Amino acid sequence: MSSFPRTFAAGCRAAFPIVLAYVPAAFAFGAAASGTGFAPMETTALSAIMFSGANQVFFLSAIASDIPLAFIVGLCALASLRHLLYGLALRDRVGGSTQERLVFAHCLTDEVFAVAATVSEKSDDRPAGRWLLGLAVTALLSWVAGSAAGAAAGETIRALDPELANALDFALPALFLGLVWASASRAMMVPMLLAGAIAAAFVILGTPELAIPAGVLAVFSARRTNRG
Amino acid sequence: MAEGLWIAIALIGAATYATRAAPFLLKSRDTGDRTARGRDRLSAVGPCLLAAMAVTVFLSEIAETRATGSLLPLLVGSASVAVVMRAFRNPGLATLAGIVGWWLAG
Repeated sequence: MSSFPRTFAAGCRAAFPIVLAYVPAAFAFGAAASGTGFAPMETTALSAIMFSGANQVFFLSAIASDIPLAFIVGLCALASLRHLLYGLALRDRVGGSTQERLVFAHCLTDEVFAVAATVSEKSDDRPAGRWLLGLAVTALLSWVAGSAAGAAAGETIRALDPELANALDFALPALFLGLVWASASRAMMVPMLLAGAIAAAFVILGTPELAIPAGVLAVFSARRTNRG
Repeated sequence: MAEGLWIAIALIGAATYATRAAPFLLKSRDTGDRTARGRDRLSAVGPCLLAAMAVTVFLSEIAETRATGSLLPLLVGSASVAVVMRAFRNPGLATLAGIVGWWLAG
């Protein structure tokens, strides 16, 4: 049987591709958060508590748009429901004690799910709990550290260079553009275009506060699209 | 930061954790049909939310930029994001490229 440190380290190594993706994204999120009044420590805490890129970016943008907090919480919870599918898909394919699984669950992002699912499919043995912890902790630390670095850099740049500070304000729209691009697939194209079109219509009609909830209704087009 | 914001952050964190942890606490049984039924719509919620939010943010950015100056930095910044996403599919790198593009064109 492998020792705890060795198996944990193997999980950490498996997280390396995730770290490469998370550090720049978290840095960009931290820089964007610095423009909305969050102190670096607050941004770091937010990243550690939520650990969900899409929810965090949505949260930042929504509070800047004065959307009611209860509504923001509801939409974030709705968007998180997809994680149920990840847990259902993984629970019989990974090992570990209940405690290890519950710690791992905090870090079950899209990317962590992809790595864990791939490894469990390729291997005859179920990934051990300590391996899951190595994967999860590495992913979480890279996200939190990237957010802290971005928030600190953003705050410093805003204090030193007003022109670059203006460019930093573009971080949030740019991050949205990148995330939308990353989420786009053939199956999602119609629901996403419909969501964007509905949101645009509400903004143009002068009711931007209804744009996002109305846009989310486009999920009802997903089934028909996916099944052709 | 206002107390209300921290409560919202804690609630979102708790809801996110609940959706991630709940399946590990349920007894194992075949949920294939139910999973398949809900999969399409559930998996579309995040992308639809992002798309709606992105359009709202961009339209507001365009209106703000038109009122204060040239649209060129916005266009160059967005093009930089698109080029890096096409090359690397890394939203973080693309965001940093977008900021640099905006800064150079501004």
